[in-house]
Amino acid sequence: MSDSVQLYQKLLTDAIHKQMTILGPQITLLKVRNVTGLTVTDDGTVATLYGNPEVVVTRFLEEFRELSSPLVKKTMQPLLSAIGPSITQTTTPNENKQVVQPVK
Amino acid sequence: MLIIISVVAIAATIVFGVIAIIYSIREEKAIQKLVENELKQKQRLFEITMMKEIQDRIGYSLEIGEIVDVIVGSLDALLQYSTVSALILEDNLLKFTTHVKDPVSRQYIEGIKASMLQSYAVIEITNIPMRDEGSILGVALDDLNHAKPLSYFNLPIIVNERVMSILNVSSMKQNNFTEAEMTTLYKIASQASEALSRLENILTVEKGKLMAMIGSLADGLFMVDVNGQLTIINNAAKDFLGILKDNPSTIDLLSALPNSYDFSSKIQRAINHKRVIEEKEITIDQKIFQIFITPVFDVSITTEKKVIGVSVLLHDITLEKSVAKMKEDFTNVMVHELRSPLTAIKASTELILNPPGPLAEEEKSKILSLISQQSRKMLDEVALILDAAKLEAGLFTIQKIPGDLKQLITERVQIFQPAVHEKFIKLIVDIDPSLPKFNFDPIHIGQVINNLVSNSLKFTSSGGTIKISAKPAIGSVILSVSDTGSGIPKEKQHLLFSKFTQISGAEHGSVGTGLGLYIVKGVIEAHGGTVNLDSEEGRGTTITLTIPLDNAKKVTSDQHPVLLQDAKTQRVVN
Repeated sequence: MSDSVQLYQKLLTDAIHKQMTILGPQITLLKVRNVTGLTVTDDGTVATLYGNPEVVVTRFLEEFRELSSPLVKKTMQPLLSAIGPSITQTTTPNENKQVVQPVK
Repeated sequence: MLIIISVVAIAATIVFGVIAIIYSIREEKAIQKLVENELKQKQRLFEITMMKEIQDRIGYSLEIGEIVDVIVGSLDALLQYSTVSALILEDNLLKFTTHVKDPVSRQYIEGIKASMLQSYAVIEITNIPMRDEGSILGVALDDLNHAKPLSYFNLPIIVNERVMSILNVSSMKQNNFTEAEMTTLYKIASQASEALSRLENILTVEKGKLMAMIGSLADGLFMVDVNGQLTIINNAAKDFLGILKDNPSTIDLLSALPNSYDFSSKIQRAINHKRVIEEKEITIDQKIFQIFITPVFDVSITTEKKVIGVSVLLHDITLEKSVAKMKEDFTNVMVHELRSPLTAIKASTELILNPPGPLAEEEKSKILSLISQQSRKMLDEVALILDAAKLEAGLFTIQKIPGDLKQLITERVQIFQPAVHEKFIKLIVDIDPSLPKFNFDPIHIGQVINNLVSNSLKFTSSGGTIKISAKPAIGSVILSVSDTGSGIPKEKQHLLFSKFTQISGAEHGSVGTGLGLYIVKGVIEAHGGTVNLDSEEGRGTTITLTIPLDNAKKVTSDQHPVLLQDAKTQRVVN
């Protein structure tokens, strides 16, 4: 296993543990298990990471952005920094989407 | 044959059986899909309904509790749960509330609360103190129930990068909530967060505009909430009250107000009675104010008038009061000025009508001369008032004729010679020999010279000097009257040419209508000229008049003056 994959695995494990505390274990594990390229144990540890790690991290972030975009911004800085701004930008088209109409 | 029939029958049975199974599977799938679609539709409908209600509740208020109430109140329609709890940030303290549906234990709720506090602390990387123990609503607790929250999830509501609330939904049952149900609630919480963030941004911008507007008011304005806390104060109010701090506290405000002014009880009265309290005249730091204390109502509540504070407006009426006093003083002076000659005239006429004995012709002549002199004085005073009234109304006119300013100055100076000698004042007249003749109104310019020399005489002590000079300039004539008198204090110089203004001449025993310099300015401006004042207290005063040269053809007596509308006066040109 390459060092970079190990690093991403650690970053992802930390992020999952953090989200398990913030959101609760059930919803966190359900969302993480939707991410192709990851297998996770019941305690939230990343067991395997296959494929391009940056793509996997991007998918992971996208999965949580669907729950709360500001939460990702506030609590997943290590992962956002790891994949760099260019990928972050391309994967955050919905960050500013306005679903609720402005109050009149 | 029988065998063939049996085979065909078996084959047919198998075929029909297979077809039946295929149709049955298809039907089952269709039903399953239908159920799934129905569930999706139900969740979508729930989402839309919730968002609509959240939007309605938000209005123009950032009350996070309103949104929490909507979500909690509608939760039954989406899923089954044991408790739903909320942690809400209010005034930098966390408030905990839980709605219990299944009879869980106190320990169960403490576990939920701990999980929510931990969630908050991890997101904000800080611990915020709790307001109190919190409130528990719903069914009675059962401490004998040892069930634990086997399923739960937290929903953070983040407004502009700050966690304003965390909602928790829990159940005693394992895997009680589906991913779809939970995702629906996260979507709602996320959309509510966005709506609140946008509203907060709008309110911040609007508050900024409001603050700019309040800041630019000439009147002083500040607001105090129902707890007596100062929420807004503009620069004018800080200036009026002598507050130097950028962000003053309520204590700073109260110490700046006069001790005798019971501000706190007036605020309380405005709040309790829900009506405006008006203070007609309050003196603060030598200035006089009208104060309006107005209750401020919560506009988000339409059913009843809820007071959320008071606004206090300080309107500076010092100038108005000063003008009113000037008018009063002017009336008193005018009564005095007119009564003196009238008294002299009355006494003189009575002396002629009922003499104590026979009057010699010389005595009669003296008395008649006195009557004539006093009548002229009265007429001059009345003319002065009329000119001032015309200037005020913009109806003041002058009549220019070709004239000799040198001659006019010489004539006017002669009038003052006796007074000058009496006060041992040196009077210098310096007229440039090249001073041209030009068109001006000799009566009013004569009046101007009179007023200026008379003022200099009033304010120059014995042994002083008064100098009158006139010289030509490019396109104009410059006439100045200077003295070595008491001078005019800097802070009073701007008032000098105003109506009714009298610079105190008590030490010189002088009185007057205060209209003299007002008329000077009006006359010179009617000629298209300017008046300039240069004065230093204790050293003297110089008033310089610039009168434009007008050498147009002379006006004949039968020609009517032409009125030109000017910004301040109407003036005559020929």
